[in-house]
This record gives sequence, structure tokens and C-alpha cells, in this order.
Amino acid sequence: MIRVVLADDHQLFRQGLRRLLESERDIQVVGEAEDGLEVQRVVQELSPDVVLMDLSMAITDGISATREIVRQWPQVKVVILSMHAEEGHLFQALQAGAAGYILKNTAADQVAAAVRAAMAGGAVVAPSLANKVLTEFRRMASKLGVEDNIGQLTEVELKMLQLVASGLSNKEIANRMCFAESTVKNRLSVTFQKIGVADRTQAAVYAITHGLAPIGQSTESSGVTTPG
Amino acid sequence: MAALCDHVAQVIHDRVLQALALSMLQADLCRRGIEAGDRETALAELSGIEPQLQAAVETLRGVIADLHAAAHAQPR
Repeated sequence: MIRVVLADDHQLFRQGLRRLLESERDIQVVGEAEDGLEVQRVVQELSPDVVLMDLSMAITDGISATREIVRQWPQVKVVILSMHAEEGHLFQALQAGAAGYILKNTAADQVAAAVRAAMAGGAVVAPSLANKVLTEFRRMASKLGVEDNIGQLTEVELKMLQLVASGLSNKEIANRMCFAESTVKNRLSVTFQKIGVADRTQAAVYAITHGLAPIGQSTESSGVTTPG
Repeated sequence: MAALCDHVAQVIHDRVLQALALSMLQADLCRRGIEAGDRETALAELSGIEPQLQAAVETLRGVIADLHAAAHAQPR
């Protein structure tokens, strides 16, 4: 029997998910949590096999909670179940140690399949997102063969890159750093050229994978875009 | 305008998408109930879908009203 904990701040969704999983013969929902801090307490108390984790929750978000759970209880597998289909969230979750990333609009059967895969030591990424992982892997792998240009970045460019990785717009970065928006745009353009990326998403991934932006420093914590 | 966009994105994400995701889940549970011959469960799940969709519709109406108001408030 696979023992599962559900972490989601939407009570009705949690209840529906519980009914869904409890209809599976090999899965038992042993606990629930409605925020990222509570789920850590529940995991400590119940030692589940798998946690199904929403990303945007109060107090502590799902990325931070995942990182803590993986660090403190490495035997527990965390599978992200989120509405977020953006690659920034996906990559942050995988960096935090998630053993899977599926979307809430996925077929119900796939949720149980992801739980079983995680339990078996495997990983499931939503098919609609898997290509983003492969694309990014290819890009990063090809970059490993060339010179890393991070040393060419100035302190200001590094800071801007961190803020891009945090999900801030040019205008917000301009406000934060006391620059004109046009200055931010121009300097980011130069920065992107230096590190060999084509857009903000690639820049954000670059920042995260090069340790420039803390994984938990997401758009959720900055409040710039939607939680969920 | 940026603040409105953030607001709209947040409302759609937090309320509309969540309601639709829950409706999909309940529809699946309803189907499972029918397949298992469990009419009571199927009806219970089905009855949960309608308020979710109704809430999503109302939320979208509010979003549309906000967008209209913002559009007319923009200086030409």
C-alpha cells in the first residue's frame, strides 16, 4: 500500500483528490495539509511514501516545502500537482528535488500513475511539459561544451539576472534598481548576449542552474504573478 | 494596466482554473461511479460540479467587467 499525503490549500480539491486516490486499491491517503509548513509537520508525523504537493500555498510555498522535505526526509517522494504549466515553476520544482510534476487538469488516472511511478523510484512529468525539460537539457548540455560566460557579467547584470529569475518585469526591475526602464531593457539585452540566452525564460533557467537565484525565490514569493 | 493584468491573471488562476480542475476531477469521479453502478456516488459528484462551474462563470463575468471598465478608463 502506498501511503500518500495531500498538500493543497483548496479544501474541495483536496477532498476530491482523496476520493479519487482512495478508489485505488494500492493507495491510501494518510494525511492532508493546507500549507507548505503544515505538510512538513504531517510528513514528520506520518512518514508517508509520497506527497502530492500543490505549488502556491500560504506560509511556505510548495517549492520550499519540497526542498525541505527532500532534504530532511529523502525517502519521501514529492510529486508536484499544480495548475502552473510554466517552465519556470517546473524547473524550480525539479531543482528542489520533486520526483514528478503533473498538472491539475491531467487525467485522473495519471495522478495515481504518477504516485506509483514516484514510489517505484521513477519520475513522471506531464507530457505537455516533458518537451520543455528535454529542450532545456539539450540547451544546457550544449552549453557545457562552451565557455561559461558568467564571469563576464558585472555586478549590476548579475543582480538584474537574479530579478529576472524572480519573475520581475523590466519595469519592476527598473523600480527596484532605480534605473529607467529603457536602461534595464538595454542592459538585459547585453546580459542575454553575454550568457548566450535568447529570452527571459532561458535567462531565468540560466540564473537558477548557475546558482545565481535561490530556488525558492520564485514569482510566487515576489507576488508578481499568480499563486496557485 | 500592469496591475490589472496581474489581478486578472491571479483571479483566473486562483478561482477559474481551480474550479475547472475540480470540476474535471468530479466529472471523473462521477464517471467512475456510473461505471461501478454506484448511482448515489455519481449523483453526489455530479451535484458538486454545477456550483463550481457557476462560480467560474460568475468570476469570469467579474473579470470581463473589470476589463471593460479599465478599457474605458484608458486615456485616448
